[in-house]
Amino acid sequence: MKIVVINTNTSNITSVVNAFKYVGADVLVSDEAEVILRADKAIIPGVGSFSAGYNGLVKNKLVDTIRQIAVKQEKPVLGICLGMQMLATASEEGGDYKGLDLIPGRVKKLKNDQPEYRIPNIGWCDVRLNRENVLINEYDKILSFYHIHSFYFDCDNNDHVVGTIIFSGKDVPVMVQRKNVFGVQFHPEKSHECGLELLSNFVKL
Amino acid sequence: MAYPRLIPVILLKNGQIVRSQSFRIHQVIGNPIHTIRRLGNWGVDELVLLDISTEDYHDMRREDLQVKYTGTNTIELLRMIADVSFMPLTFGGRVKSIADIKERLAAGADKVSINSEAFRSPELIKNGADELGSQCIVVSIDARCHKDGSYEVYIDGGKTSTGMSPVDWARKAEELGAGEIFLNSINQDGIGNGYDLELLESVAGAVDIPVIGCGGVGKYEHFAEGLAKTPVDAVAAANIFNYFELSYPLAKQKCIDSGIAMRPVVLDSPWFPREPEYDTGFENNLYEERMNRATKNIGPKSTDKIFPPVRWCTQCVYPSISAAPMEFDDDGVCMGCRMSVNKVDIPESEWDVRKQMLVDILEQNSAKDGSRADCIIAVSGGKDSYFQTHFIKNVLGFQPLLITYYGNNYSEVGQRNLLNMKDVFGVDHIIYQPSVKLLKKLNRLGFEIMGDMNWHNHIGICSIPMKLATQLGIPIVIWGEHGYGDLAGQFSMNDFVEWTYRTRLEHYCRGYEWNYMLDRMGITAKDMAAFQYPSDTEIFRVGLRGIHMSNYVKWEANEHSQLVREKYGFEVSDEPFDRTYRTMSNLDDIHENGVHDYMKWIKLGYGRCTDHATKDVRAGLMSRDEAMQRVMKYDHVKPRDLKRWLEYVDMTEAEFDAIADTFRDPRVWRKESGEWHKDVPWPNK
Repeated sequence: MKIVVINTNTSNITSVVNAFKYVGADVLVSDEAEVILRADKAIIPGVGSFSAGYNGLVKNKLVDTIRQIAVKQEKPVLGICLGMQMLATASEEGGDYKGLDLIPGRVKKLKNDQPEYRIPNIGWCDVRLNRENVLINEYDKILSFYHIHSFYFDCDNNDHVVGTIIFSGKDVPVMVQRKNVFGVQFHPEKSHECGLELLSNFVKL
Repeated sequence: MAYPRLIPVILLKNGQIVRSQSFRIHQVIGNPIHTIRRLGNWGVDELVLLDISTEDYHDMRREDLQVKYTGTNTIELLRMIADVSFMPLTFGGRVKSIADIKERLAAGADKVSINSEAFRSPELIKNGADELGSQCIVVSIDARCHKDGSYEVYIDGGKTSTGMSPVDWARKAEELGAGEIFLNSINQDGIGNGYDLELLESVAGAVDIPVIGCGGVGKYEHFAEGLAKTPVDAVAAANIFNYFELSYPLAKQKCIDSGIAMRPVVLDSPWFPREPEYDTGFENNLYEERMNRATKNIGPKSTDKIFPPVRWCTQCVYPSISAAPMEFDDDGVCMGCRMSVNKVDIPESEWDVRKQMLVDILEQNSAKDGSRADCIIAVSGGKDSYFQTHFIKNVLGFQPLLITYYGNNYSEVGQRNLLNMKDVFGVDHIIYQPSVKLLKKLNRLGFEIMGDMNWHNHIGICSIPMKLATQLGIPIVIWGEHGYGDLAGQFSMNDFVEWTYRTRLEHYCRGYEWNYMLDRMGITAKDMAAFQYPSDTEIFRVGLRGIHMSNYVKWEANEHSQLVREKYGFEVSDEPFDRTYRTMSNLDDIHENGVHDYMKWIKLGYGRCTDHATKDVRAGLMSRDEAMQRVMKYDHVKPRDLKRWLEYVDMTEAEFDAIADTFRDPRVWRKESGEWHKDVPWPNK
């Protein structure tokens, strides 16, 4: 069982790889199509701005590769943070940019009209689950994950929203899933045992 | 909304964790890996690492520690930390360019904090945010409060004034693209009487990005105060997390109890075992390599790392390469001397206050229903044991239970003293005697693996009293002096530092937990039951605290010795030791002042006489010249008890010497025409 972390040239790759190693996964980093397509599962990591991240995928000719492993091969794919946002149809960050369009929706700036909220949203937020899912076993338990983001994934189809946080009075999607494609806005690789549990569940899929 | 965060800050200087006061005094606390692993055990919300080194070398001080890292700089340390910790990491210190930021992010940091350079070149904030995202750019602000109540930003570790107010600078940093502000008060650093609430309020109220408040925490209550009274998003502290057992869970529980919603406390997570997991193959190779060097009689492995030369304190005789972590100030005076001066300065009236603090702790934890003893005293039967029992029982009137780890190396005098305690004090005494067969194995393994036959003693003394305390439901275990606090000035007298698992593992056990010995010479987990420490959950449940009496009672070994001799018939050694002039210490173990201490000389080039002479110089009982003469006379002596030890473990003296030589620290020793030589402090004088 091989897991490939797609090299998006963003900074958190080491942390993601370390976390997968810690939960016992056979993990490698690659930006080569044939290596990625041979793996059993793929991770799209990423931090930073949408355009920089997506342009990186374009530059390395990875857009088709990711679509292929996700749609044609139907292998499990997990986007983390910016990697999750790139699963969307488009993003409003810094203009209007196209995304991978694996889960329909738009990435929008967090809106804040309550003084106690701040942007970026940094810290541990309780994630409420909308439904049973394979990444978090304890459906009834509220778990906290580490978030650090200014934008969020506004899904077109509510069925794709698995988990949300409350931000400034609104439910904001932070866990999305469409068939074999998963996305988390938070950083499981930085969320102690809750995050490791989630990654370990992904490995077991 | 995101939970308010409680953030431990790790201050790093040349690879070691330090305690900081007023941005000027830095005392070495120890190895960062142990501490960070420990914080990981507790699921901390976030960790801030600040490298305050001004030089490029890294010095882990001792070669006989189990946790080593091959890195020579902080980036490599960061990589090691990122391998084992899955929490948000902010890394600061010596960041001067976009390349520096990228290097730190790539090594495992999530955010990078920039201080002086951000002020000097504000475009670094803008360029960093544009290229890497605001979320990873933290601007760190050190603020000083002037006498007129105004605040000013200082840079360069608090040395250079800027003329700008922290509020103005925070606003500007936010405009430039900073994602967070780390706000520290210079005045409050290491003082321990709480945050500068006005400073936190003014800055956190002036910007929309999150603000982390830091500086001044001395009690767990201060965290809740910072969060409740100011709009900061996170509260941070460095020193306090180094002082107390379960510091982080207890601090967080205090916040939660005061009504602040936070992420729950984590204890004993199956993902993060507290006890180290050893790579047996790797460790076995190290062992075999050492035994090979011993067989060929070729001494230690040489080092290609560059270190500053050994130096000695200009007031006492303590060396910089030492068993206890030592730091020197700008005048070349060691922290041990500095702290001993502070101790002398404590007026009698304050000792009265401290004594009352001890009474309060004992009273709160006493056995109200009479079902158990009030507290445990971990005793060896030495002068300190006598003094402690005297004070707790006969001065303060509490009922202690005495617990002893019996290492089977007692001198006849020491044994008499030990067995007399129950009679002269009228208290119960549990003496735990491990199997001698096991002890012989542990003596040999300790010597061969880490150059210390008394490892079993250190870990045994650390374990049995704490283990029985949780089993018997007695929440207070009393210890005497904080050894490193006293010798190396590791802490301030105002820290009231207590017993921690980290100190146990890192200092007493040198990183070798009980499970390191599993399967060596046929040793099983059950054999090692006495050496296993209670779990975090058990410690939390009982509220177990190990307190050092020297924080509450004026500690003068010579006077205590006199008192217990006169009052309780305590006997001192009837013959002088080979390796020191003091006759009142370490009677519980004939090897402690003997071969065990001889190994310190072999490893680090000094011995017990240096320790004793240093203490006596500081107490004003001896001049530095006199101390040096004593050191010259005693430190190198090969002691007579070696013979007993060799018979005990069935080893020849030649084998012993060859193995011992593999532990010589290459920073101290060099071989010249077949003889080992080292520098001595006298030319330095």
